[in-house]
Amino acid sequence: MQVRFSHISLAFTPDKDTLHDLNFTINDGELVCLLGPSGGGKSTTLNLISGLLVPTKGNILFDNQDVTKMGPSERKIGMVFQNYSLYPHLTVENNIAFPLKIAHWKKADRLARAAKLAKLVHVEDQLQKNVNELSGGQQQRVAIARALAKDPNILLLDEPLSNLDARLRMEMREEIRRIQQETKITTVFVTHDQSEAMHISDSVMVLHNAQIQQYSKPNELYDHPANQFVASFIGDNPLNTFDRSLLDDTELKEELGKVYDKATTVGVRAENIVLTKGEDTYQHGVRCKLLRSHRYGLISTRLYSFKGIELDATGLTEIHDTNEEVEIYFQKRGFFLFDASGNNLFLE
Amino acid sequence: MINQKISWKQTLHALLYLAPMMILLSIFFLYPIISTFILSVFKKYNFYTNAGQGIGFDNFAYLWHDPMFHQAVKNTFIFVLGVVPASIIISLGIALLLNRFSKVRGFFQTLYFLPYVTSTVAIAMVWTWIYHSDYGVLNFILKLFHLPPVGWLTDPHYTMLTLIIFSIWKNLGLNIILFLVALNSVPKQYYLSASIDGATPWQQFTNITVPLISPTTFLLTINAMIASFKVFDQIYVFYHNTAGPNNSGMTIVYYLYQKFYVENNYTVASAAGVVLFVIILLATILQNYVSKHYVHY
Amino acid sequence: MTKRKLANILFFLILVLGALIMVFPFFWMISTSVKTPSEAAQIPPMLWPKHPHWVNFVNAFHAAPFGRYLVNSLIVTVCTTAAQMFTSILAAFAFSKLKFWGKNLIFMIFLTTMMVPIEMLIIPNYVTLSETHLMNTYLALILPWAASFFTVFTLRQAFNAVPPQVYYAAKIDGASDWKYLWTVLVPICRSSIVAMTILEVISSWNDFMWPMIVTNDPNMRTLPVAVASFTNDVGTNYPYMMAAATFVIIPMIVLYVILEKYIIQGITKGGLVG
Ligand SMILES: Nc1ncnc2c1ncn2[C@@H]1O[C@H](COP(=O)(O)OP(=O)(O)O)[C@@H](O)[C@H]1O
Ligand SMILES: [Mg+2]
Repeated sequence: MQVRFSHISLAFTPDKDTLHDLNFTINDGELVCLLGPSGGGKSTTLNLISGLLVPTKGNILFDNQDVTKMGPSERKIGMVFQNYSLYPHLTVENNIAFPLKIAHWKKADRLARAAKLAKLVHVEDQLQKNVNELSGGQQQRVAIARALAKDPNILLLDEPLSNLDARLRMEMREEIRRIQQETKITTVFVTHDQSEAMHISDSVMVLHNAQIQQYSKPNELYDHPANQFVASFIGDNPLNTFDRSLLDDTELKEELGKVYDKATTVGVRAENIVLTKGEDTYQHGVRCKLLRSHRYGLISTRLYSFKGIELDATGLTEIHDTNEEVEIYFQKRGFFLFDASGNNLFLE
Repeated sequence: MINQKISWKQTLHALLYLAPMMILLSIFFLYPIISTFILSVFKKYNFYTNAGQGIGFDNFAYLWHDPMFHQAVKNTFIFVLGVVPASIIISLGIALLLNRFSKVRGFFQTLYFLPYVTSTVAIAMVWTWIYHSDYGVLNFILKLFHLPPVGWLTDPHYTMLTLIIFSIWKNLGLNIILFLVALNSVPKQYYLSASIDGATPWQQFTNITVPLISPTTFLLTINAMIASFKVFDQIYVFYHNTAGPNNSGMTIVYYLYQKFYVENNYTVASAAGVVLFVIILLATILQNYVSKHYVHY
Repeated sequence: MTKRKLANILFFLILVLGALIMVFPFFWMISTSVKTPSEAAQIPPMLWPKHPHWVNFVNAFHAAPFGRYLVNSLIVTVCTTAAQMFTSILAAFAFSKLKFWGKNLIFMIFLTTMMVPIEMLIIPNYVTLSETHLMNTYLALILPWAASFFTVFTLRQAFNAVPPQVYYAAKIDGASDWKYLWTVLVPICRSSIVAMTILEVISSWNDFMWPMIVTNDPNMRTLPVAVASFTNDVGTNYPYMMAAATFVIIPMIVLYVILEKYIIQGITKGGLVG
């Protein structure tokens, strides 16, 4: 089912919009991630889709039908919360079947359906257990099965993996992807973990400051971030940023051309700093001094000093001495210029 | 749902859930509170028409001058002073001992708590037999120690002692259980570090245990006080529907009962009720005051 | 080391002595119940009669209409407890999970009922019940205790501990408030509810002053009232009196021994509230 927000605003207190004028469409059958730092309004957006929250302004449409005024039970959605949302007094089987019981299904039918869903989420051997005997990952599997019980049009997941340990999180995100692809259900997945979002979604919506910062395919976010916030938030390594004026007396300024004059801030991804000129780099480099280097397992990072600021670089293999002056080059795909309001100038 | 403005519909919906409680408590608690205050200032009151005449503080003046009421207030306070400190100290001691023998703790706790779940009236009946001047076990034990027998239930000098012993026995279990909860919520590492510092068990008790359980001690004290202010059942049973020899067991609640049920003097009984209310209110205020200023939570 | 051992032995003996004092009256009650009047009056007292007269229980039971009293007590206890739990669960749910105007005001108003000594309310309640001609009826024994703010308060505490996500999940699953309350919230909080139920059973069963005041008709007496007036019927027959006391006490002790866990839980949760 397609979900559309039209001019949605929401304010918990009259003086401040938690969400301001949101417009977007989630296509039928897609898995979309809502991504952003904590407090960015992700859960709020999800709860607007579920009907647990009512917008202050604007309309929500499901397949062009206006559902703004509908309560959560009328919207045919399934929802999984971060934690503590299973019914602790019921078995796995009865948790999954609970929505069906409320809908007055016959006992045999609902148990059959619960068994089928348990199989889908791989908890079929836990059916008779009490939910608090399950591990965190299993509990979330059960929660997903319960959310799917009534064959909802939309599946909403609010940070379902945040309480799991790192390894299990990786495993479960693949599981969620698999389940989504098997069921073809339109899914909205909330997370604050950019790599989680990048790995499982068809599209990612970055939410920050009451607004959508960018809504696009995962790779697009990395390759063409709309603004400085997205560029810093996406990616495994930090984004180096510094004031444009530091480049004013370099030849790189000339190479960048007219766009340079509009820029106020420069951003370079740590993985896009190299020591040799190439086709994918700008032809002019900048002179730096190596301060120190570290290695964590596979990843080695170096800290260069450039006109009093520090630049992180990762993935460099060429060896040279600390304090030695070297020329570093920026690869074009990881080099950005932002204007005063943070917009990526290369996108224009 | 989460952020919906409160509507009349929701309010009505909630009131449906609240209605049974609100109606019942209004009739049997709120209205009587007001009504008792009103009754207490009527000069005359006709039960059959439920109508009062004349407003004034005559009933309170009556209490002020009634020696029986003085006796009731005095006895009530003696009772509270006799029961509460002893009960707190004994139950804390037993709780500490129970904690020492954790293997048998459950069993002993069950035994100590038994009196608390039993009917005061019925077990007081048993105690009249234990207290019996001629055939009672208690006097027999005194005799074993070559002590003269005591008229527990007949000698006015012993009335308060008789009531106090019984009441401590009856309510000990409650305090023990709550002390046990408090003792076990004191973090163990405090004792560990104290014993590393070389503190003796007694120093640990006075420097760690006592301050850390002080909120419980305090609450138990107030609860025991409030409960003791209302003593009635055992007096009724011990002295066969009287307030003891020469009214030596007269307490405020017994006075209220006597005025109301035996003498049908509703206005004076209500005034006594108001006095009881004020005393308990003061205890509650004291509780709030002290717990804010002196108890280390 | 030996000093410590000695102290431990001494402490243990104190505990045992204390326990004996706590239990002795119960033992003495049973022991006296099965003596003849003359055995009971023997000095030195005999701990246990050679030939226990168990038949005393039967005789005492028939010396007054104890069957009737037992039924009265059962009816009053069951109805009072059921009504109080029902009204309290509903109210606690509203206070815990619903949004409505005047919530705090209503809560504060009824909170005052917790601080008022019930002894003070007896007179107006007596008047109310006489005027509605309910004296000597079960309703008079039940209605005043069919709601309790203390129970509401304690249950609200338990309901508040259930995370809101569970409520939202149930809403999404299509449950109404009523369904949510009875199929989710109450089962989740069952141990608190059981604890409060047992405490109310005990206090209702043992209640004395109010039943005594609203029942002049001997047929309407509850067991404690009946036992208190039993002395008038049997004079100084202590074995019979002890047997009668046993009728009141034993059911609660049995209940306590079976459900001790819940009682202790209820006491420790509610005990420090008020
Ligand atoms: N029920 C609420 N009442 C008031 N403020 C809220 C409520 N829920 C969320 N907020 C506020 O709205 C903002 C966005 O919250 P949320 O959507 O939960 O963020 P996220 O899920 O992205 O971490 C936060 O500043 C939060 O404090
Ligand atoms: Mg959130």
